[in-house]
Amino acid sequence: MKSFKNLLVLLLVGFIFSCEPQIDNPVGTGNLGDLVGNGEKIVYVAIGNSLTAGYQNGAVYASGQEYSFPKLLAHQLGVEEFIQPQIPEAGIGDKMTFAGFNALGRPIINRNGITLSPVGNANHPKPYHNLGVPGMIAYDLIDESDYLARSQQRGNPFYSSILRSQNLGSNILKQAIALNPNLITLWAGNNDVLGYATSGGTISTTGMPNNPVPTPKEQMQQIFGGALQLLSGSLPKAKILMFTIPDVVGTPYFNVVPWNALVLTKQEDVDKLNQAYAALGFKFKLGQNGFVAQSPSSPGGLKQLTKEDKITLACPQDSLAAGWGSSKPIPNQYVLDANEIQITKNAIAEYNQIIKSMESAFSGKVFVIDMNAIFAGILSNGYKVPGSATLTNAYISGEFFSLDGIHPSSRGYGVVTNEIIKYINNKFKADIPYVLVQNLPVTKVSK
Amino acid sequence: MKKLLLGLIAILLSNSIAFSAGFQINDHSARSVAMGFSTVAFNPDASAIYFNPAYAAFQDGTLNISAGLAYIMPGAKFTGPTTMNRNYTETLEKWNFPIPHLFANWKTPIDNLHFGLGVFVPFGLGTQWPEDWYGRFLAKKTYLEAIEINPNLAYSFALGGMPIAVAAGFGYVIGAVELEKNLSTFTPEPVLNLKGNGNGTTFNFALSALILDNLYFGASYRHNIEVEFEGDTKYQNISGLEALFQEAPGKAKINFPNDLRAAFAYKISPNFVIEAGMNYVGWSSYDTLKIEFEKGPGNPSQPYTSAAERSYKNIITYRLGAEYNMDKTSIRFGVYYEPMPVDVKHVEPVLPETDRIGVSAGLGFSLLDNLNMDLGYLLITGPQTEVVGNPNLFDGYYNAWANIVCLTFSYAIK
Repeated sequence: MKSFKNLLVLLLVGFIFSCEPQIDNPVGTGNLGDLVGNGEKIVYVAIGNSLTAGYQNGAVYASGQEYSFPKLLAHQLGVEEFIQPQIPEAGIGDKMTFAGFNALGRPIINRNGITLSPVGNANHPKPYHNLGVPGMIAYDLIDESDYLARSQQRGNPFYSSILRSQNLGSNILKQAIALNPNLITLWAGNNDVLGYATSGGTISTTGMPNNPVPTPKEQMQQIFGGALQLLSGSLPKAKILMFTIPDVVGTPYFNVVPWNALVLTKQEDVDKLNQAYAALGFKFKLGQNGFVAQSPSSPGGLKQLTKEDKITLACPQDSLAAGWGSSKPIPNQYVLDANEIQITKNAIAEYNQIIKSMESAFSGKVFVIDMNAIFAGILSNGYKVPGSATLTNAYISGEFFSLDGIHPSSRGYGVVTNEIIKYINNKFKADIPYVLVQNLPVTKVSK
Repeated sequence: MKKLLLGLIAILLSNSIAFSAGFQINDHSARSVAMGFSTVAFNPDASAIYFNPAYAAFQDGTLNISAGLAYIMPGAKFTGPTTMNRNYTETLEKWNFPIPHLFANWKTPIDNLHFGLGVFVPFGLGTQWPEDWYGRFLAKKTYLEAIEINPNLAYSFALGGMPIAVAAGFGYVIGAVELEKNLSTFTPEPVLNLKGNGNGTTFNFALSALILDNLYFGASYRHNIEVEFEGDTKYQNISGLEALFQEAPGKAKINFPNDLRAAFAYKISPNFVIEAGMNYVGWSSYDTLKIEFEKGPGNPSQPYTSAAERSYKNIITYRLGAEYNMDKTSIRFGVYYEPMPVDVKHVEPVLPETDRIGVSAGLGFSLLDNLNMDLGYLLITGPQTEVVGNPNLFDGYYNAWANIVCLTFSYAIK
């Protein structure tokens, strides 16, 4: 009896210590499907502008580059070697930082001032896998002019910092080809309209011969056709993922400063303004009013803004508070009026039509991902992140865009990466795990 | 003895209690734990105050006291969110919970009338996910406890020759809650913490019948408990963000479910009893978790109410237990099946739910004439839960389990 009891106790004790159940975890495969040939390793090169470089908060810098979409994509694809230019934390550009909110709940944004840090791995003997050149326009795909001269001529340090030497390839496409990739992402053409838009329609596409505004579609057609001819001809096995251009008008850059924040509280101010602008037919009342802004295409060169017009994030808010937009009109460069918005939207629509046509023109080689549609979805419905917030185009609180209001945040780039992965998984029957977006950093509070 | 009891009460009322996984706690007696809680129709110790207070009227002795401690070692894993990455697995931080219990059943000078008092923890929950885990915006730390003080009157009589007992009781419940999660908009991430206390009342009644010499029936009902928690919302990592996040009072209401259990016990021989029963729990009371913030997180100029849909539903658990008495030793076994009380798509990391299978065993020792010591062990496991279509897109696989050991001393004054 006694030994029976001991046995029971022993059994019981054994039971307790053996009872952590085995877990049956399904495993994500990372299978590349038909993306590359059987047994081939991915060699990936990213060609593009600031969106490819990982530009955010007004600059390119190490901790931002870490979350460039090509870097994130290369990691998810299991790419063994993906070299980016090593730009120090001080960065190249005018880095913006966020120091919290003031007592009124307004964000405190600081600018570091223009910095031009030397690239750490400038002596890397081959082209970089990330050939994102901020400010690059479509014409730069085929332009073979000297990089340093181009940088000086256009006031853009990135040509010489990233493309470095004609010996590595006499233009960006040839540098890409030199790495013999079997996967390419190409996201270009944004700056052919962005420069026009962000300058309130005052600056044409710098660098284009004859400075047209924005780059005419015929030229875009020619450039893209030629570029893809060269890439697909030189790299017959490569898959080229090409992206459409998102509509910039929906970004926070054009939606933070309200058009009608001219608040009048005294009847005498209302009367004064009504009198001053009587000839132009502008009407003012107590309460909120549309600002007055310069507008060369309007009668008298002035316009009272309506909800169809946008004030850019570059417009100094202190100046608005101090009285800009009433008796002193807002300078033209800070306003994208309805007419200019239409020019911007038309250009984007035309460019995207051209980009989409490349898929059939280079069938089986070029695959177009409609980033414009994806961004439009984010702007209208938000982007629900599993287990977390819905990312929107709201400034700072929306999480998707960085402080500059145009470029995505690290999380925004994570979403871009996931949309590319989603396309690859569907199109090439692959099984690439997605980036855990909410584990990427977002607006940093630096006090 | 008195010191020991006071010590137990002190532990009971301290702030260190709770457990995970479908947050009802039944572990209030080592004998009951060992039998998979099949102690509703036949229960010779004072823990009948919880499992079926009517049966207390059938107990011998002037005063029966049971006191002890359950030690609950829960665990859970989450793999996902599968909408993004099927390779990512996180395990709950190790967090074990000592849950004391204390029962006294007194035969009053009035014939057939017993007075019983129970102090126990009918509900509790504690989950702590790793600091930087992916679901930290849904849940990081969740803690919930409800301690009940439950006096009962039980009365026995004969109906057509059959001994019957009925009981009714009142419950006073003291609760505490803590919820902590991260907010996503800034790096470093602000942390929101809501801590509160509350209390509530409830009632219960029960029936017990000795149908035949060797056939027992018992049924026991405990009403739901509405507790309104009041406390404070606090934040960490908000340097520079003070205009958005401000400490302020907050409220949360939780309606703990009602519980109805019924069972038959059959004595195959004088030494061998088996019991089979059903246990209904009205989890639909936990349909939404509403939290009211006096100052909205992110927008302190306005109050804010968050209402998370929980979609819990009523369930029935099936239980089976057996006890074999030898000279001075008893051996016990039990098994039960408890379905998941929530629509599978609504399973959240706050409470990793699975269908649960309980398998238990234990021993009882008669140490002295009037002093028994019981040991019980219960393993709760269940099939992996696959969540698809979660409203937070937090799809994935949950595994949950618990090891529970329980020790109870029962003392009887003849």
